[in-house]
Amino acid sequence: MARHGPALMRFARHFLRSGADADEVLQEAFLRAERAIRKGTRPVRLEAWLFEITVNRCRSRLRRHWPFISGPAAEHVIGRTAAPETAGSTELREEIDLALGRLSAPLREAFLLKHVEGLDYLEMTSITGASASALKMRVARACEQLRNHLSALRT
Amino acid sequence: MTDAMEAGDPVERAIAVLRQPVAVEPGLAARTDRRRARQRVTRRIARGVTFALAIMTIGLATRSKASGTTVTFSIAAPNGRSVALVGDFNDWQSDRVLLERTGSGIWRATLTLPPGRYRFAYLIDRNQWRADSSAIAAPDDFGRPTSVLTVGAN
Repeated sequence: MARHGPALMRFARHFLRSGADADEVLQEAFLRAERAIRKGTRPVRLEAWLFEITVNRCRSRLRRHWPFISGPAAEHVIGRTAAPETAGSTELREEIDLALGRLSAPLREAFLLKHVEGLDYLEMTSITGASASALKMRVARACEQLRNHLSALRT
Repeated sequence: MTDAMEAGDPVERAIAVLRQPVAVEPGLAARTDRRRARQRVTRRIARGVTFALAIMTIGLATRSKASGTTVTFSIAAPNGRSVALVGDFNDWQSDRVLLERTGSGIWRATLTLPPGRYRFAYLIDRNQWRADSSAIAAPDDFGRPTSVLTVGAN
């Protein structure tokens, strides 16, 4: 928990845009990992495996608030309506948080895993279940959209 | 870094900010421990309710058909590893009718029997002799608890 917690917390915090939700997700993720290990799961790469669990818990948490819609449309809506948490943030942080919140959930997820957590596409494929080409496209789109949003917020 | 990541690029600035460590709220381990304890209690209650509902269905259930009468035998043995049905209909052989365990610790087997009066019992883990609490009791010749089942003509 002490070793992997900070990186998982950073991803969950930025993805969910809520410290309280990220804290809950981490608790769930660690308990799930603990149960899986007790049942005999022996992950080859512990960090990637913990990220996989955390990403899944984050997705479930977003969907819990939107049980009546699903698919890409849901991800889009979820991404656009996640509540911003701005208390204690600087102006720049607020802008980044706001811009990040305007990305759809799949784009935000891919962007954070690639550019913030520094994972390679092979690891991201095993974590998200998406193909490398799809992930590359999501990361590129996320960068483009983020740039547009940040530029718009600055003007 | 791509062109997009060049110095001065807003995305690069954002990445630099987002990469800064995010503090894990103190007490995460303690909160996780409390959540684990709550989940254990919830799971125990769920298991208990499932078992209580299942145990209400144990005993004999019969249904008449043209080919005979199907009888479902069931017994609660949550800690048992195997349960055999022995009786007049299988010459009291413990390897002929093995009950199947359901998820809630109830064991069941269904047989089609011709009309007649049968004595039977359950053998748990090959060494515990049990009568069926829902049937008429009738000790066998060795004094072991057995039950009686009467199957009527169609």
